[in-house]
Amino acid sequence: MLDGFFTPDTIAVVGVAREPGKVGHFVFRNLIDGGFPGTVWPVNPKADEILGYACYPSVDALPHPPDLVIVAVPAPVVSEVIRQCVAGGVSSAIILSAGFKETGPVGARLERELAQVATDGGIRLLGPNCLGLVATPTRLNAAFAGSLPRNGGVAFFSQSGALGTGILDESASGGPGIAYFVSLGNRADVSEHDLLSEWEDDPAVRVAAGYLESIKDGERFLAAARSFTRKRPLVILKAGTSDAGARAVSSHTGSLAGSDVAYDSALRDCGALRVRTTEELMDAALAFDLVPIPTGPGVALLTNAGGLGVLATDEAERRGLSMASLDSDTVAALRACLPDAAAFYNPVDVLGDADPQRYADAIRALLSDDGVHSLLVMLTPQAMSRPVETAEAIVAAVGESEVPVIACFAGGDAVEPARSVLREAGVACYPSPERAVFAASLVERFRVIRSTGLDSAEQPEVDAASAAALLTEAKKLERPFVIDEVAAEVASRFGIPVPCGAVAEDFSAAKRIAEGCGYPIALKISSPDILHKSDVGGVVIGVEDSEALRTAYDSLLDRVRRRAPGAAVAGVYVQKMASAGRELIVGINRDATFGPLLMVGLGGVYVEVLKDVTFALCPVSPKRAKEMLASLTGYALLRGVRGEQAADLDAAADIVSRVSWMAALLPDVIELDINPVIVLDRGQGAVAADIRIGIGG
Amino acid sequence: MDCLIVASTEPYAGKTGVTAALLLEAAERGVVAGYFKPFGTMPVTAGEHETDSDAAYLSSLAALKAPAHVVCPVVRTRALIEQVLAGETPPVVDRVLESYQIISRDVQVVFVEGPSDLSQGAVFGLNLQRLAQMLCGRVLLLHRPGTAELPEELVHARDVLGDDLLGVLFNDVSLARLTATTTRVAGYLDSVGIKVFGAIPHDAALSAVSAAEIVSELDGVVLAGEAGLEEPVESFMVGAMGQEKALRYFRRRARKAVVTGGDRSDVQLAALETDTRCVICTGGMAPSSIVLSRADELGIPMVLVEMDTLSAVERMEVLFGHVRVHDASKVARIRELLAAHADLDSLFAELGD
Repeated sequence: MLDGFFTPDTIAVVGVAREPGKVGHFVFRNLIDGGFPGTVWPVNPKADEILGYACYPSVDALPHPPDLVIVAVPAPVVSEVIRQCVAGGVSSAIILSAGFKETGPVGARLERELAQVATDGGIRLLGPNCLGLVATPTRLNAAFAGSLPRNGGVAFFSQSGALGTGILDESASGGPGIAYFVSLGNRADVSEHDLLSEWEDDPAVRVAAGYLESIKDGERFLAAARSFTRKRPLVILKAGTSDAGARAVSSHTGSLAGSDVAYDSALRDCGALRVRTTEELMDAALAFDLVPIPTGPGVALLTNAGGLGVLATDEAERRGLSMASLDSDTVAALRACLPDAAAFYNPVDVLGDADPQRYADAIRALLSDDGVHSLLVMLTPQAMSRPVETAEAIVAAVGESEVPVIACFAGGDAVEPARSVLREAGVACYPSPERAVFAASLVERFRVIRSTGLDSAEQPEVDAASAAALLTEAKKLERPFVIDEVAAEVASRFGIPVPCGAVAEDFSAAKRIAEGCGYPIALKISSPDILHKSDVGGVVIGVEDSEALRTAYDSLLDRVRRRAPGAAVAGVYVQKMASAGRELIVGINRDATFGPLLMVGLGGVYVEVLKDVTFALCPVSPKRAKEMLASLTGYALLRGVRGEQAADLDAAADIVSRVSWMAALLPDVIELDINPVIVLDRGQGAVAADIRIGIGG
Repeated sequence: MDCLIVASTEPYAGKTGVTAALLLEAAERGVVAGYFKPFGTMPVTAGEHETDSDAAYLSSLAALKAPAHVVCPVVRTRALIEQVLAGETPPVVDRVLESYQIISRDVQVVFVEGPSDLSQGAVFGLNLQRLAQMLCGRVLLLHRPGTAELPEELVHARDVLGDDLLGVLFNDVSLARLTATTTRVAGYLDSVGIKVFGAIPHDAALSAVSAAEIVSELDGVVLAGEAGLEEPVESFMVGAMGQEKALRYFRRRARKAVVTGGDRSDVQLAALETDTRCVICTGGMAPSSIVLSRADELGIPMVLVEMDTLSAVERMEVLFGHVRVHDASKVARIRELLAAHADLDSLFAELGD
């Protein structure tokens, strides 16, 4: 519980300087100016009184232990202050002081000591090196930023304190209303997942929004986020997506920025909504603060300008929104209240000369249509427009309707007073159709997430223990990749179909295996030292009979001896050729933050040239695996085109799901590629034809 | 008194380590043993005399009484090379024999660390064949099988050494070839009259260097993570890619050093995230403070070097290619490996003949 941070009755600020301009002084003044109704105590051994408040020399000299201590003393003495807090029974402390791990090893040692003192003493810490926090429900401005922001339902957390000051300022200037703002700092203790857990049942929170450069603990974040998004939307702006940006993150926070696709997958899998810019972050926060979640997908557009309507329609389509098909009664009602030249179908155009009443009538007609689940009302200031009165009419027409309404008043000074009217009335308003549609699309996405739920994969029957034992044995060779036949064996222990085959140490064994499995067969060199078998001529496919086998076997070994003279060769892997089918690639990579990441794509040219792949965190259910396949651009090829039979999608999805379980249950699997998985026609199965498992050094 | 010459078919086959292990093994078996290295190749100064660095190390390890310049009477110094090229004939054979007389007094067996191949010492009339004859010694030939499909060097050695070849000990055998070496190859050698005493598998710890040795070799400065300076580093990788690829690449090797630019905080963090023993930051560019903090927390040395990545890599290659066993823990490891993979009883029984 983090009550002490958000609902304290008494607060002590340790390190309040007498002179303005110092951090401690600034925060103390913010507490007072913000109107915090509880008790505040300044702590400074060298002062008797600051800003009219009696000073105390130390934490243990306070009349009683405060609920929250804010620390703004130099880094080397912070631990001592926290020890005093622990001794006095304080439960929460915000460490504003810098000079910790961000400054190098000496500071890092101070931070470790601080974290240890906190852990041992059972006190929760925010920071160090943070801007503080703001809680508008309790009028708590414990941050060295500006004044208390506008009250609202947005709970922000930010890994950049400075970006936070911008957010708070924007809120104060008509942006989204803030319930909480927390600057995370170095995250020695409290981090993003703690906040999500704290906020998920807080009635003051309508949406959580965060700026992150890295996630401290992927597993705990996912658990907290999954739980949070069952109840409320979570919007994340993740920075450090380019190589150069990732470097900037590394030197800013000392954490790896992480793989962008991993973040994409993780955020999607836990039901969070990812945004790409600060503008999108603020737009999303505003939307979720003010707009209720719709009950269905149908979006209606209302405009006084054809161009605006077209642009909004394009954007709606691009973002996957469903344009509502208006009921005949609605169209009739619109015909009754709009001029003949108006457009009565979605998007509805009330024409440039629309007065407030025309807007109000059209809105009422649209809101009474059961197929309209959300409404975008747009206006540009034309000669006969009356923006302020129109805004007032919109507010009145929307009234108590539970259908979400988003406004777009495009323009500048001419519409700004009207936007204020909408804001004051709690109607989200955006300056462009694209941004308004974006907001509508986020709200709709959250509706879908909440109604469909998140994937939960049930473990299939697999023999993980024996597969793990095979990998343990393989690791003794100290090679980064497992040899093919072991990889195939590991896969088959997970119920993944692999072609019949074995390693032959000499020709007679090769012949025996080929005859046992049946021709045609493929030959592959078996060597822990050869990573790219084809590059050294170590693969021959389509060997049809024993005569061809003799030639292929000898020439393969000769080529490898010539091209990879240093490689230790265990033999030749003789494998039955799979029948022709549609090819998939399935891969695993381990992300530093979120663990195994599954990749699925169409094989061959589709993956190499078109990069037609999709990702998810492991494990995935066969249902989710099917959704992944369906999200591929080339999915039609799997469903069958031009009279072709559909591929066996159930078998393909089953392999994909089992591979994800391999990654989830076998920590030794560092990376994995199955290329190709050959998917036969429906009902005929699929087979993992070539498996490569990386086990690290 | 018996004499066992530990020689090899190529340099860096593990002669010093195996000789050291045999010396300690002899002591444990109650065999009074001496150590002799007729011809050294790594000159060091011991008091007023020049001797060989391996010989000096072994002398101290086994607490030998004879002074180092007697243990190794001839060292291939620059001066010696110039003498030979100028047509002079240094009295190498006499010095070797004189010293050997001293060493072999009052011992049951002398372990002679012999030449690196069959030809070394030939210009002084002291190749392996001659040495064996002079010292009445028998040769234990160390051989790294590498990738050769037939053991031709060993058959050639038998042809040259005849009965003076006591047998062969395979060393540094890749695990992928261990079974084939101990079954097919050893079987063949037995059939042609060459005794095989065992096959020691490759052991990464033996080819490791400490982070402190890397720091010294590269003239580096340790910026953080001093706690990890003595940890063994088994290999090194170069980081010049983006963080995602770096992470995947670095995971492929354990117990490694990573060489990268000082400004590549993403690569440095990726290295710290995987099993890394030391990060070398090149180009004289200090890494960011927060990365140093992380390294310090993990106890992984962050080393700043002035040279560029390419030069650092060249120096590291030399360092890793010529690892010496001047480390008691490495000698102890060799003893463990010999105990597990070599027939020491047979070997010592031969010496007792």
